[in-house]
Amino acid sequence: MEQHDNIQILPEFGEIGALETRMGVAMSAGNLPDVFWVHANLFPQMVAEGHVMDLTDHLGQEIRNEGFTESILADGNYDGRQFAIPHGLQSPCTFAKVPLLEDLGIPIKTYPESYTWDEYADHARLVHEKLGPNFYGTDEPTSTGYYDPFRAWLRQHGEELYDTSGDVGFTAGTLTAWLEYWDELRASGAAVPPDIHRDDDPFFQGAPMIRNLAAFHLRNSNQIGELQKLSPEELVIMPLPGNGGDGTDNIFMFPNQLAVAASTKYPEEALQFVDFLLNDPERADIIGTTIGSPPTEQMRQAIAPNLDPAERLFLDYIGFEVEAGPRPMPPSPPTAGAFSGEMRDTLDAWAFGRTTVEEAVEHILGPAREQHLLGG
Amino acid sequence: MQQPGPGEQDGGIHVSVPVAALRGGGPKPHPGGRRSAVAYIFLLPWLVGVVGITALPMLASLYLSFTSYRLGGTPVWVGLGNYQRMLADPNFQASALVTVKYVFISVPLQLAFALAIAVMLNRGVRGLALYRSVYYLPSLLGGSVAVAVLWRQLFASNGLIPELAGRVGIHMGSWISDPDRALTTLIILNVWTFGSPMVIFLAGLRQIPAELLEAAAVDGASRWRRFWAVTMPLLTPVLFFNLILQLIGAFQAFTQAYIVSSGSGGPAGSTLFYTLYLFQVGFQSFEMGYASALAWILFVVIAIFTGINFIAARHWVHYES
Repeated sequence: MEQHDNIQILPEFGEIGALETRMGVAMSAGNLPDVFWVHANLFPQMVAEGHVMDLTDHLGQEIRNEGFTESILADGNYDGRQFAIPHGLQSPCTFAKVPLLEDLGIPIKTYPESYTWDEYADHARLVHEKLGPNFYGTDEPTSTGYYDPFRAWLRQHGEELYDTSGDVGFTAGTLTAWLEYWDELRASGAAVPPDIHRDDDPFFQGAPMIRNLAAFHLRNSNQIGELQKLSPEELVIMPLPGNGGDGTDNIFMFPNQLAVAASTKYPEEALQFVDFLLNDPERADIIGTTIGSPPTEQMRQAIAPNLDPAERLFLDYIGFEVEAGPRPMPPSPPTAGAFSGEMRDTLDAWAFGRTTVEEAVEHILGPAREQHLLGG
Repeated sequence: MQQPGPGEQDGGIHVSVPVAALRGGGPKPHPGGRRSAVAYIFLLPWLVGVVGITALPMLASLYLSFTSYRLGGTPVWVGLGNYQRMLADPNFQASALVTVKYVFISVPLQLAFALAIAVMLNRGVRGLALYRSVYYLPSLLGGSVAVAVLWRQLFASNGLIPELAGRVGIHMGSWISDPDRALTTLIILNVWTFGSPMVIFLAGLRQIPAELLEAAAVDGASRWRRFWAVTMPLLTPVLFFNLILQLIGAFQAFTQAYIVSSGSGGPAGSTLFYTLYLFQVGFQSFEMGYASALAWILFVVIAIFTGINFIAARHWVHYES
């Protein structure tokens, strides 16, 4: 690093899907990197077992914290102390192909507005009716293990994926209604059939929308830059159904968070490096929106001039969500990975018609919950 | 100068000499002690490996299999709890079933294919070395991530195989994302890696005395009869060796299913190999105690199958001696 030639940074890169496994093993072996990207599922356990440094007293000191709002810092807070700080903001959203919506007369709704879930279903059905039989409205996210649209559905019904005790935070009725909603969409051709959905990795280049098989795609907002590069048509970024209008209180974000290992031999340098990653305009410019939006308005403004239109849409999107001050969400329990994995497998079987809605709900709220959230 | 011991040539020290010395076969006491020390020094890398990264971790995992141990936490003794949990775990049962199907379909098919090709090549084909190398190549690549990715591309709905089938009027769709056919693609992948057993079969076929086959021919035996009555019985030790190796390998298959299903074992659990489920439990759910118990069950099952094969071999494997 030119500005700090006494500090040598040894970066380690890894595939994002394996981040949780990698960090879990490093935590167990006691060799976490000095500064690292902490996975939300591991965060409570890491803090509880003393693997991460308490940054509370360093905020406003070694780490400048101007512009970090309370809602942004909430996810890195544990028992009133700050153990992690967001360095990239991201949230779920609805992507869509602009020319296609215009051709079919489907309105584009961006913040502060959004579709309702009923409108979303109607639009998806219309797409299939007009452009089918091999073109669909939307992908179905839950059975591939992407739970954020389901979280939004739960929050809109006054529930959460997990409650504050680490148990499930939703009822059988709400989960049943969610699965029936998607059963109906699949039956009418509005949602991509599961075999076509799984034919490729369902995200990025394999997403049905990118493979030109669907009009809508539910996924993380920070992917707009990558998805736009993969798509010949203009894409738009819209809120998840139900999260606009009167529902903005239900918005939630999943920031990518930085933490410092409690065992670091270089605490001063690590804190300096965290400050650089969070507050240096040059660094923000280099990274752009790859890992999400910079957490502060100041950094967002600093990078905006060099972004393409799609990425600027994303900054506006996140900017609105930050301002909206999302309602706090209970943290995931340490065993969330195991529970959500079992949920994915159960819903995968449901998507292929191997199990009914009732059986899937019964399994998720019965044995899966019992084993993974209530400790067997 | 000492007399060369068994296995020792030209005064050079070979690994076999110290081993013989350890068994009491070498000169004693002083020279043998020194030679034993030398042997241990040569063996040290292997010993460190066996003890440090095989024996001790195995013992540790045996202990952990009787505990509730979440990665990063503290093991808590639960006795046979993890083993009892398997009885009620639908994923354990599903993954065991998928693995048994994979093993019992792919291994016989692979061995039959390997034997057929080996017999063909044994007929004095011109350019044998080239064919042998070409056929062996998939064995080197078969377990790799790249080939698993390739397989996914071949059998996806817009892949080469459905595309070619479509041109002759067969509309087969995607095999990868069809729960009824996804496992078949992995079985085909395993059969495709027939090169390794084929080379061993070929070596076995070369050992069969030509005069026996000639005598059978003179007696009027047909080619088919010569194969079943002479070649196959003499080849059974090689077949047995291949069977054991491929069975053990198939029980432990992992990479193909991990890549093809993106780590999920889907679609609808159709490619949830036992090892993949074990990985999910250990490295995605971090339940290391339960994962250790699963690993020990796999170890015991493989040992039982190998044992059964050794017992059964007494009835169908023929050794010339």
